[in-house]
Amino acid sequence: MLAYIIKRILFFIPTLFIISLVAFMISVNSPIDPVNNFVSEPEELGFQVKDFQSQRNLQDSRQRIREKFNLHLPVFYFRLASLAEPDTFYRIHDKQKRKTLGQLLDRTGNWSAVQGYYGQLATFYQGHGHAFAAIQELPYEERQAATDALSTSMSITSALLSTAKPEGITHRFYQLDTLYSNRQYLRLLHDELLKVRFSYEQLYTQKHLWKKYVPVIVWYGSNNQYHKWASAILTKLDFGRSYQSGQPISQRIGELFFWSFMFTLISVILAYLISLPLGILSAALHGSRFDKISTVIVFAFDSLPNFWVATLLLVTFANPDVFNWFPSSFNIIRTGDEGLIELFFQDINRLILPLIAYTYGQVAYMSRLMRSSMLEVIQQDYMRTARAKGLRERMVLLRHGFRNASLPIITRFAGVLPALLGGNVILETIFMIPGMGREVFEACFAQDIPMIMAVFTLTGFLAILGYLVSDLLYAWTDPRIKFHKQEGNQ
Amino acid sequence: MTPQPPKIHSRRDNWRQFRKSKTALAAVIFLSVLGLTTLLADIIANDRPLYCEYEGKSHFPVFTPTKVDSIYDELKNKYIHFSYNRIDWRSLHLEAVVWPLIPYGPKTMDSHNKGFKSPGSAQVFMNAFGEEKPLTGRFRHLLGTTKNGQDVLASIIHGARISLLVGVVSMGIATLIGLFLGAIAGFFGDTRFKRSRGMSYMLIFGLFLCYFYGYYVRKYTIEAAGEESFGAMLGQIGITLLISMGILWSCNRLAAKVLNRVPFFAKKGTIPVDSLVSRTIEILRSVPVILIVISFSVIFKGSIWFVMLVIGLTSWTGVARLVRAELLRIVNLDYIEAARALGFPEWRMILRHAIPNGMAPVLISISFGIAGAIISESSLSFLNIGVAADTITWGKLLRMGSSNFEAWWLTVFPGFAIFLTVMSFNIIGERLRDVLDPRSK
Repeated sequence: MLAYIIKRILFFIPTLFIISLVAFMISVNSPIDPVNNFVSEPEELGFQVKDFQSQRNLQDSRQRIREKFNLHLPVFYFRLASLAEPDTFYRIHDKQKRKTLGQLLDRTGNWSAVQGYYGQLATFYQGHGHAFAAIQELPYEERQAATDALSTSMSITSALLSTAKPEGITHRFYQLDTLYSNRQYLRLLHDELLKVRFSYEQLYTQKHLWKKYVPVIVWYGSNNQYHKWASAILTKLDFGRSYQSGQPISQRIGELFFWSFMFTLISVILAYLISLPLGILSAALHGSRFDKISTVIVFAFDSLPNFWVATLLLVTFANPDVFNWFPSSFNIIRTGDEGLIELFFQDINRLILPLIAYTYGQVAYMSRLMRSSMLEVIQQDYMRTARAKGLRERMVLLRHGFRNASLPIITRFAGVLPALLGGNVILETIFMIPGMGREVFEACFAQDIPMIMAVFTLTGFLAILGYLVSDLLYAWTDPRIKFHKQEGNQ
Repeated sequence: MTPQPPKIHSRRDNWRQFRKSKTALAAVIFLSVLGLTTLLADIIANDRPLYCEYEGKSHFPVFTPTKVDSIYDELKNKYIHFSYNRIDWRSLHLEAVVWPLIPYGPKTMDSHNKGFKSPGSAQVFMNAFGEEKPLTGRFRHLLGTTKNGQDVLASIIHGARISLLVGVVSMGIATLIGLFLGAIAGFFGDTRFKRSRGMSYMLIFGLFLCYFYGYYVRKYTIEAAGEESFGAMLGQIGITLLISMGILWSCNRLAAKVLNRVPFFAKKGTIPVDSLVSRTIEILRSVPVILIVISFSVIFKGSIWFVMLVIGLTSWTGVARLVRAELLRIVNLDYIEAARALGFPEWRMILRHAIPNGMAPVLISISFGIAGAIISESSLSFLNIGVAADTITWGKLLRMGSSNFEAWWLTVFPGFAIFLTVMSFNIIGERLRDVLDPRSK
């Protein structure tokens, strides 16, 4: 038994590691740049010639945010890459830029040529600033037309910066050429463009496609995002800061988790209180009308989607047109410094609808489980013995039957653990409960990666813990179960 | 007393047994009708007539939605060009017409009945002479309308298509994965999968190469195909699979022909397949799946295929566990022993002997799984994630209902459709368990 517990606990570690890794890989590979949460690029930027300085500021502030959240580090300890990619590919943080460079590299395999072309293009883009200064000396009427031409040129160039398809690039080169051809004041840019075109042609004359097909493993060491993230959790229980609110995650979870916890806990307790007697009764009266009706109802409950039940409850009982008995949302009105528990039970009315929606499904599931397990127990010999001893029927059922039949149900309690923290996304959204489920749902939309990862890892942890606890409870309550055998062997 | 021969159940016996339950039979009939309805949804609920005569010409607008025609309008004295799926056929003065059973499509915006007309309210229409008349008979919106004047009944019929498709496709994916992993876990257990070291190492190496040549090198190609069309992406994924199979096959050959001559690599070891699969199941069951689905659906906006894929990839554990348990039992039966003695290769024993006999419990799991997938999909569209904005689903109708309490019909009817479908699958699953699972007899 002890050996089994130790083995299970040891198995904890790799499982948690894999879960955290899965969470991490999913979030890192999302195509949305998390920095955009903090610095949003103004729509028109890139078309305004004057804004070079503000653009540079923007890039600086992006870099600072990246450093604050460790996003400037390599993702993991090592990386599988092709020989064509440079070791420092991860340092290109801008996801769009990295994608374009990657696509160019994919077509040519020559990093220095790609870099040469892209660098030339960037210089060309910056060159618009000088051209703008030069235009200012033109007479007013011409200046207007020239600014327009320059803006067009800039927008084409910024499109070039995110194009990798050869047709797209040559087409834009052609557009720029025609734009410059009959405008003397853009002479300067035209010369620059020639350089860009030259370096672009170099790209295709100096292909090293073979490099693309040679795999290499790049080792980054412990200075990486995953290591920092995991070691902060292990040493300081620090899950980082939320992108959405800027608060530390552990503090944010501490605030929100209470509501999810309370609803889950109360509904589970209610479900036990209802389903245990219901299951026992319908097993004891097996085949009676009560049994038949309750079985049908419970079965139907099991197929009811919870969001439908929740909406129906609201439409019926929180609707001024029908019955306006309950409030339609779970508003907390903080008046002073009352405790959380007090705040929760402030208004019993607003708890009723959510609790029904939380509970009915569990009642359905658990009373079916209770009934079938009780039916099995009733056929056992010791029940007959108990009756033969002259015990009253109620004693037989409760003392001997219930105690044996309740094992699978009681151990199920451990399965609730992850929901205690993670909450219920749908019901919390419908009833506007400010719990974890809703927070995570919003975090998914905002790409609040630290939050998603924290919840992912914590609920995973609780789920494994739940399995362990339920196994141990099973063994503890049922001495017939021994764990010396290896699982899976018969 | 002579021993009774063991009772053998044929498929027909099982079906006969299944049929005995009236509810299960009703569920099967309901689902068949529903399936047929979704297949014929365009003919049953459509805003174009099945057949009509207009200006002396016969048309079949339901079957030719992309047709473009021109008609001479005497009143305005000019030719009107119209495409069949755009024009409002009811505003035309048709000489003869056969309407579909429900004369509205899911995207028909009935401008005269917009703003939540209830099933019993006065619904109106504008006839060819521009007069407003009350809607009667078949043309009434039997289950009411939405804010934009869409017919709820037509939307439910067309929404059934998405729900059933999600259920079937995602469980198809889940069944394939679950069957494969469950079968190898159950068949080989922890002790019976013996491979030489050379083969094991080459397998790991091969998987690494598969990742590199199958995915990493082709990353941008696959991405570009994905932006182009779904079919192109499937094609690229197919090429990736072919490359991977080629790599794995050649690695295997290489190990068998070359590496195994070296004594170190030829030494046999056991791979604990069962433990590996069981641990994977445990990990997958510990992960909050809804979080994965939501975060992925946010990233890949509006692709119902993606929702199916994610649900499929995360819900195979039920099938795998049942198949594993069943095969653990079957492996020790005499006919497998006989096949082993005859020297059949392992894959043949799995495919021809073990899996066909262990399929029964999979049916139970598939049935419950489809019910679960339908609930998952409708929850997602209820939260307004997963499906494209212009696709109407049951979940989306419910979403409209939940933000407009006065339109009770938007909550009651689509929810009831989900409930009936899910319950039918559950009833069938339950009945299958009674019939097929020997323990419950």
